[in-house]
Amino acid sequence: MNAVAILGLLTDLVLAVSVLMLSIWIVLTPDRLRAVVGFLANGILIALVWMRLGAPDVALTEAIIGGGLVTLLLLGASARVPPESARNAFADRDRWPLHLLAALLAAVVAVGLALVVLNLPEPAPSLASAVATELPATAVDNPVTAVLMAFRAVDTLFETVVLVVALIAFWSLIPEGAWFQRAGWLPLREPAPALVLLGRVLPPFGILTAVHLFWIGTTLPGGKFQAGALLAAIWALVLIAGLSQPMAAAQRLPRLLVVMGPTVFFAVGLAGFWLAGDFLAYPSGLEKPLILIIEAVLMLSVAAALGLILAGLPPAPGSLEQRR
Amino acid sequence: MTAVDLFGLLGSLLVGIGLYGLITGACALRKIVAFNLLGAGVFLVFGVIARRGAGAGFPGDPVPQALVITGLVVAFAATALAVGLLVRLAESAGVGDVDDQLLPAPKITLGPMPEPPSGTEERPASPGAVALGEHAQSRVVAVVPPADRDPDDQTIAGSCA
Amino acid sequence: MSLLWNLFTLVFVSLGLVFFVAGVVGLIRFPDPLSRLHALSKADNLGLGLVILGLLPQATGLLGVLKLIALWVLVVIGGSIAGQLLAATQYAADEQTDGQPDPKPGRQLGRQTLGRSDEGMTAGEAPRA
Repeated sequence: MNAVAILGLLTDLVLAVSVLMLSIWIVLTPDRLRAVVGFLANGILIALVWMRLGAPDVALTEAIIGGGLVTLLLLGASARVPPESARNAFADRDRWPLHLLAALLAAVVAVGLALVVLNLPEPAPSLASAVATELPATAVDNPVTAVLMAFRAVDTLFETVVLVVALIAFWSLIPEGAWFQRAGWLPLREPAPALVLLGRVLPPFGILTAVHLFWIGTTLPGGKFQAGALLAAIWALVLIAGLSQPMAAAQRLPRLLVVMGPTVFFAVGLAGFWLAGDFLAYPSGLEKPLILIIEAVLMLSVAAALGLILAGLPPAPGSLEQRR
Repeated sequence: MTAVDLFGLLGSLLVGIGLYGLITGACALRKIVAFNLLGAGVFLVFGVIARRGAGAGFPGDPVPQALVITGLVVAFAATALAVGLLVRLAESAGVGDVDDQLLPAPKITLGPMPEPPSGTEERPASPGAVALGEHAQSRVVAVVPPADRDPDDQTIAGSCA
Repeated sequence: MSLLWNLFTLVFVSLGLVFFVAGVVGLIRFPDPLSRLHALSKADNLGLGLVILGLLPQATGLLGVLKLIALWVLVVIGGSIAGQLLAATQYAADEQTDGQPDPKPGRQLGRQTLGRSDEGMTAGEAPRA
C-alpha cells in the first residue's frame, strides 16, 4: 500500500469517526436546538463521505437537501413548537428498561446490517457496465443523469409526482379559513441588516450556480434536483430576509409551476409511444434536447415544490401565532 | 479493512443510532431528527453497494446512486409532512410536544403548580379538542415550569403514540 | 516548471491548513462565544484564502481559476455575515442576562425570533406588526 492510499484511508477513518461521534451526540444531547444544528454539520460531513465514495452527484444532493433544507425545516419547527420539558429522556430514571431495550434492539439491527455489509457477494453485482454500453445511446455523458432521465426514467417521473403529492398533503394541513393567506414560517420579524444584505447579494450567485449545475448535469455531476434544491434554498433566504412575500396556497402561479414539471415529463413519455414505440422512449437524435427540456422544467418544479414546503403553512386564524 | 468496509460499518451504525433515537427520543422533533439519521445510514449502505459495483470507468454503480438522489428528495418530503403535522398540532392544541413520557414521579408532580387535579377532572369530562384548546391557553400563558407535566400531556401522547 | 507550481501549491495549502488548525484550537479553547467566533472567522477567511491561492495553479483553464476565486468570495461573504448574525445574537443574549433591557430585540436570530414561539409563551404580548 503506498503512502497516498494510507493517507486516504486515514482521512476516511477520521471522517467516519467524526460522523459517528456527531450522530451519537445528536441523539443524546439534551437540547433539541443543538441537535438540529448538529444535524446540519452532520449533513455536510456525510456529503464528504459521499465524495469519498465516488458519488459527487449524491454528495451535492446530500449537502443541499439532506443537510441544508431539512435543517431549515427542523429549525423552523423547533422555533414554532413550544419547548420540550427540560428533562430529556436520558435523565429519566424510571424508563431505563425501555432505553436498554431500545439500545439492544438498535445494536442488534446495526450489527446485523454490518455483518450483511461486510459479507456482500463477491464480485459485487453491478449495472455499471450495462450503463456504460448503453450510455452513448442517450447522448448524455453523466451516467447518473442517464440513469435518472433515460434508464430509470419511470422512477424519476413518479418521484416528481411524489413531490407534488407531498406538497398537496402538506398543504392539507393549512388551517380552515387560511387558504388565502401567505405562508408564515420563514419571514423574520426584524431581520438583521446583515441578513438582508446577504439576501440581496447571494441570489444572483445562487441562481447562476443553479443554472450552471443544471446545464453541466448532462456531462458532469449536477442536475435538476441539485439545481432545484439550490433555487429553493435561495428563495427561502430571500423570504427569511423579508425581501419578498411568501406565496399563498391559493395562488395559481406556484401551483402551475409545481405541476408543470411532471406534466411535461409525462407528455414526453406519452409522446414516446408513437415517436419511439414505447412509454418514455426518446426518438433517436432528439434524446439530448428532450432530456434537457425535461430537466429544465423539472428543475423549476422541484424548486417550486421544495420552496413552497420550506415557506410552510399560514398561521391559523385567531391563533396566537397569527400576525397582522 | 478498506474504505468501503469502513463506510459500510458507518452506515450500519448510523441506522442503529437513528433507530435508538427514534424509539427513545424525548420529543417528536428529536424523533424526526433521528429518523433522518436513520435514513442517512440507509443511504450510505446504498452508497457502499454502489461503490463496490464500480466498473466500466465509473467510480461507482450509477443506478444505486441515482436511487439515493431520488430517495433524498422523498425523505425531505416525508420530513416536511412530519414537521407540518407537528407544528399544526402545537398550534391547534397548544401542547408543548407529542410526548410519550410517562407521568412524572410523584415527587416531581408536587411542584409549585396546583394544576394536576383540575387536569384529571377535565380529562374524562371533555377529552375533545376544545378542552385541549382551553387547557392549552392556560398552559401557554403560564409558561409552565419544565418539571410540571400534567396528565393532559399523556392524553396527547396516547392520541399520537 | 510544474515542479515549482506543485511546490507553490504544497506551501500555500499547508499554510492555509495551519490557519485552520489554529482556528479549530481557538474554537475549542477560547472561553466565550465571541472570541471563538473571532478565531473561526480568521481561519475561514485567511485559511481558505491561502488554500485557494495554493490550488490556483492546479485549476484547469481560466474558468477553473475563476470558479475557485468565486468560491472564496462566496465563503467570505457567507462567513462574515453568519459571524455577524451569531455575534449579534450573543451580544443581545449577554445583555439580557446582565439584566439590562435589550436595545434591539429583533437582532437576535436564535429561537427567540426565528419563529414566534416566544409570543405563544407570553400571551400578553402584541402580535407581530
